[in-house]
Amino acid sequence: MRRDPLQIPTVVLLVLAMAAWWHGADFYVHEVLLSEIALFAMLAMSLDLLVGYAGMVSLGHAAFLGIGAYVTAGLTVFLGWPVALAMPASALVAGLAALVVGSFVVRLGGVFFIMITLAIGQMVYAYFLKAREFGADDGMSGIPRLDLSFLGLDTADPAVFSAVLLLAALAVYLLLRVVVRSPYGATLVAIHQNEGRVRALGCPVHRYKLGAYVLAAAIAGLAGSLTTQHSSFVSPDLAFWTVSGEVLIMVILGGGGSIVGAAIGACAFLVLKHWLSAGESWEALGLPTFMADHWQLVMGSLFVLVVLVAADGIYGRARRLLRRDGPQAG
Amino acid sequence: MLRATALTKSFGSLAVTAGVDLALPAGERHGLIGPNGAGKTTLFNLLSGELRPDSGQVLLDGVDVTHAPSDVRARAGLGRSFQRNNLFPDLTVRENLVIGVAIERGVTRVWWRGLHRDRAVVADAERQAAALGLGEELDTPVRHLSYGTQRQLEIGLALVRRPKVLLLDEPTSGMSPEETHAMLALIRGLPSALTLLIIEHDMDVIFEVADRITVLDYGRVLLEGTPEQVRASAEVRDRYLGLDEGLTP
Repeated sequence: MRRDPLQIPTVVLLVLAMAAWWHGADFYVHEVLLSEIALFAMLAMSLDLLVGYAGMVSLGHAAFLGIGAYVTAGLTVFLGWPVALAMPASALVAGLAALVVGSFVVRLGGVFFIMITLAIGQMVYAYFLKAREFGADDGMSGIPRLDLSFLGLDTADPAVFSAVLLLAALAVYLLLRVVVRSPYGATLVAIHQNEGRVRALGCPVHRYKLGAYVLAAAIAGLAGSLTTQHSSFVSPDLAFWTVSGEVLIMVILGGGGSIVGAAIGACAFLVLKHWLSAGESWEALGLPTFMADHWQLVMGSLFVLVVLVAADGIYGRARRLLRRDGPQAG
Repeated sequence: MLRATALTKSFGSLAVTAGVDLALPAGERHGLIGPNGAGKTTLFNLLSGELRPDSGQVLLDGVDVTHAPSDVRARAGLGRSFQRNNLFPDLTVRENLVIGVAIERGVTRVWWRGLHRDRAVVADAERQAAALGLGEELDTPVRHLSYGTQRQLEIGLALVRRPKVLLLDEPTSGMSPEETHAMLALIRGLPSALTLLIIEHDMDVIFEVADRITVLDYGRVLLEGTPEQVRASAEVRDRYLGLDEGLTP
């Protein structure tokens, strides 16, 4: 609700940095790093609406990523739908799934909410793992990408598609920025702080939490659609709980309670992951290259370190240096 | 305006509320007293919807709200403050009141427009802060406020909806004499049409404010009457007032 003087400079800087990186990138950076950053940033920002604003710590966000991915795969491969139609359908189906599931789970709080979202995520994973019509554990391949030839753009070009993904992440940021600055967003923050009092003031809090849950799931569904277009492949692993866990780590790393913080968390996590898992980076530090095999150990230690020195994440810590803390607009 | 009939609530084998009847006509100032553990706050929670009774009925302005959750009762005109400050500690005074006003005006569903654009909501919140004497503290996060000031905001938040019935749970608890005095002035200044039910340990406050008093003991109504009747009752003196003599002011 309060103004965050760091927010706009950070966003402008992040957009410029991504644009510069995109401009100078090679095939690998376009195809892997930038695309992954954009996709995970979308997931992390949408999860932050739940975790950082509404105070709903979900460990099953990847379920909606998986649903979105399979909807796009099914509609394009089996039914021959154009991708431009399959994308909104993915967001819609993921949102509807969240509406059904959320009607039950938003009533739960704290650790119960964590456990039930984890369980539901694993149910979705288990379904796709056994669903023969969707290729079971082999998944499906041959998913097309969005056709932008009417703009003279070829999305098979990694540079073009990574730009599409980055712009989609920017659009998600702008949408969520509007939401968290609105009276609705302020109400979510108040529910996070003191749910009982918001209800005593006359607000049906479950409906408000359900709304956030559905919106976050729809964005994750859209990210799922883009993920499957990116790899032209879909497998049950997308819905596995470790994906949810990684996204949650990104939110915590970047700083819950600010949308741009979650995006920074996704960038930091993925850049570190790629850097730590490459033998050359360890060689450059004069350390043995087998450390690259243990990147998860190093990453875990770094995560613990960040949480110890900055419980409010990278962006939260930076903002605290400037001003007092607390959930902020954008 | 507010009526409870044969309300019961048990936690395990302990009957915390055991057949309580209460009837408050519109505009009445009603005190609720009794020793610690008499079930005063539990009765409040039953009336406001934080708890559901095991049996019995709650009528608000003639409407049966026994099974309605607290948000529905709040929209039907019931406001309450809490025994322990129950605010939004990381938000400022202005933000606390803005949330209350936004909920009252039904603008919290708006997700497409910045909250700062709703100038009327913010102005209303600031006006209410000024009326509570908190005009200087608008930008102070609530957790930095003194206890007594938080207590004032606690009442202020309960008043945002301009309730028809207001439940105040120990509004002066933990307050200094001056703060108690200010709170008493605030309570006396409430609109006369408001129906007020107030739990209070400070007998000076309760005898000053209340038209009628209900004495609760072990979840039952021990006595219901005017302040004079309560003061004169040997049983109340024995069970409650006498016990506290010399212990609480």
